[in-house]
Amino acid sequence: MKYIIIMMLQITAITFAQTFKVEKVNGKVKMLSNGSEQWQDLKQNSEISGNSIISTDKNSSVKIKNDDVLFTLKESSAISTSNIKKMTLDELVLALAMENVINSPRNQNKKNSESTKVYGEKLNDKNSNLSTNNDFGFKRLNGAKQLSENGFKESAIVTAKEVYRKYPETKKDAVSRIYFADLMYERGLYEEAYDEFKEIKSLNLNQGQISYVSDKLDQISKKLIKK
Amino acid sequence: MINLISTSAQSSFSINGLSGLSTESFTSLNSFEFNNANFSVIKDWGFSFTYGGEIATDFSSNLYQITAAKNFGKHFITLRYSPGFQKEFVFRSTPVKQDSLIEPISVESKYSYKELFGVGYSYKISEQFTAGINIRYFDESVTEENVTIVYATEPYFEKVSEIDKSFFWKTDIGLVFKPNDIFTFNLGSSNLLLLKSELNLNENKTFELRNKKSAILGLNVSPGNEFNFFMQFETNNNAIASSSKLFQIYDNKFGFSISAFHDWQQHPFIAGIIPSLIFISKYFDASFSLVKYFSDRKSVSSFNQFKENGISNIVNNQYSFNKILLTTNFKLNTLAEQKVKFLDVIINQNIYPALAERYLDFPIATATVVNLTNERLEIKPEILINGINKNKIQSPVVSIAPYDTININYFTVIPDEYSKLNAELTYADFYLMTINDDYDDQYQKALLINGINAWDGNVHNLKYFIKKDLDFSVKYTKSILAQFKSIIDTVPNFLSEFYKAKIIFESFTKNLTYISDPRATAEYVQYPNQTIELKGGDCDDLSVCYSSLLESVGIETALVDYNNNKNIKHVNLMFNTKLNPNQALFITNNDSKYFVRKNHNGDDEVWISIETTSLTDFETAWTRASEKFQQEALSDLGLIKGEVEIIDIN
Repeated sequence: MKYIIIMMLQITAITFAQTFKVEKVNGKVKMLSNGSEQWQDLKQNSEISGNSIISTDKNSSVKIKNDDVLFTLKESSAISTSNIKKMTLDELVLALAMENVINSPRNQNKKNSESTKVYGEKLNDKNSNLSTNNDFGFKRLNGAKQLSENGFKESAIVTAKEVYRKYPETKKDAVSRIYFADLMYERGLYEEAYDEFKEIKSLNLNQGQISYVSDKLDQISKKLIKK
Repeated sequence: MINLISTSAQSSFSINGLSGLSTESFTSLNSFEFNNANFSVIKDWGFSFTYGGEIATDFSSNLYQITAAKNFGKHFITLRYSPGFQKEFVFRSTPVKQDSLIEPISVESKYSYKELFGVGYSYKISEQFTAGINIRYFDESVTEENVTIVYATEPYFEKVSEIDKSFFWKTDIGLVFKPNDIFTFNLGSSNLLLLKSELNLNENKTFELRNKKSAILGLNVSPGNEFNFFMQFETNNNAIASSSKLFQIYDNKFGFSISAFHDWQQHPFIAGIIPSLIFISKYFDASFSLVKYFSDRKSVSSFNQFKENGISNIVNNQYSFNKILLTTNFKLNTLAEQKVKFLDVIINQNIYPALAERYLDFPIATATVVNLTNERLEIKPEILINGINKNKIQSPVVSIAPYDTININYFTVIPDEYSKLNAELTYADFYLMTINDDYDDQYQKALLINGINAWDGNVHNLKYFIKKDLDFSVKYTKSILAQFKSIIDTVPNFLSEFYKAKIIFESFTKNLTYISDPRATAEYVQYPNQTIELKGGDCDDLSVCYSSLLESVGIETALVDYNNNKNIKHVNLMFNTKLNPNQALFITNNDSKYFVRKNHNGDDEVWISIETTSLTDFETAWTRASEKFQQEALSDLGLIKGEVEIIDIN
């Protein structure tokens, strides 16, 4: 803690760890760089710093690249450049375990008394949810799917989990949930996939989805028994 | 012809029913004979009485001895009054007719020996060694009858008695060595020092007690199971061996003992045995003994033999008869009896006064304690830290099974007023209390008390610095928020936490400077008022200060501990905006700048990180902290690898 100067250098190093360059832009594509609050339009040959968020509008797309990666973000999608990375299966397992920890209620033994203060309208309830925020959540989910399509399957699963946490409405999207649950199954994460399909089963599913999820649960059960 | 007449009672040289330097109270009472070191197992007061009689032609009984003993810590004193320790021999001449006119008459000679009282003292040098001394008072007398003819109308004999008296003090010393619970060795003297007045007439000196000097060597073996063996040898060829076996019945002991002794003046080689029945309880003992000699005991004996051999022991000699003896002991303990004992005390942590609250939950020391009794005990552990506490602090009561050994935790309280800046070495007194007001055992151990700003380097413990100064923080934040009342009043209620945090940050950092901690070895953390007053601090000082300010207005905070690099450690904080994820849009367009956590009800809440060392503006501090958290806690999986930890303050 006495090494703030070194720490700042370290932060700087992190910032430039994952830089990309825009190869091609179609339509309207914007970027939030490095914790910025202002969206900027992306143009060809623009530099994209690490931890930036790229968002595409409808009928828009962007192709970005660095020394190792060429990545295409299709329409109505958003992605953080920090998510465009190769992960090992072990890292994926760790990341999923971390998600479970984060999603556990904190201070489970704590029972605070309710505040007695009453002033003004109680705005911080579900009525104040903004659809715009959820729209961006679905864009994030699309971005996660494209991670998978570009070969970053492990990273796609982690990103989807993060999106579910930050944009709870996206958890109701059965199609996406099934997509990422299948990804887990495909990577051999049967227990995680089983838990995910069990949660999906409780969503508002159509007949085809119900049948698919049931079959998948049976299939995974058999695999787990064999293990 | 001389007749020997049995007179008053007589005792054996060891009138106890249980000989030996064992852990039983018979050892410590009425037994100068085999315990000349006055070895003690009596904890406070002890009293002993022996009553009995000799089985001769006529059976007569009387009190043999009364003993009182008192323990004064390492000192032990015994007083014995022994009215039954006496022997009298009467020799009567044959009636001689001196004159035909006068009736014949016989005259008597009496030889009387008494041991009247004795006093013993011992000092416990250590747990292994006890040294002692005893002084005994003896009285002996010779009474001769002479005859004078009185010539009257009818002449007659008149008897005139002449008494020749003397006394002497006999002093002996002893040493007991007890290396362990099984073996006890004793070494002592017999007739070491005599201070005496002699009989006046030379012809009577033949009849004085024979006080031949000798040394005494003894060994007591207690291998367990209430079995005891004792053997004692005197260099003048006397010896005694004794064995006992007791049986524990509830809280009492019953058993038997048998002693066999060899006396150079008596025959056969084993002159006699002393079988005994024994009862021992906490406050009362009793023994019923029979002293049985193997040689015939005659009530008439030769004067010449008596004159030639004399006697050397009043209670056990060739003229002693078989005896039966009843001995009772009473043990009065007005002192607290030690029931539990420390085996060891380990200091778990040195004292950091700032972490006072922690010591209520985490023990500063753990003691290993043994129950010395056969009953379950409730123990009150107490601690007094010199320089910290004025009174003993009691830790939770602990129950301990009979003879069990357990660990007991000691907790303490650091008073709020403790304010020493520098560390000091002191000591802590640990106590074990049972039902008594006095403690059963005490243990002292050195302890380091750090200064009030010292910190043990554990980020979890920074919360104590945060909470300790809340009064100051409440006043400080009230004064800040009062200045921005108009802004806060216009902010929607659900955003009030966020804006309050922002206003407080920008106000308090306005005049602050980051100052690296100059102490290389000892961690030093400022309290919030010190950081404000000194206008600066390092990352932990600033995080503690900002956290305290936010907590003072009801905003939940958590410290974020970055320890992914052994050499570079860092702490900043995050706070709860109380927004749900759908409301995050009201404070940021950038979803990498917040972190969603579930509260104890399972509801999602938006937390944001703040880099307190970034003393520019709130947005920059937020952005920097978010980037660091995003990278090290999430992307690098620091949260699951243990390299980054979120520590909630409440």
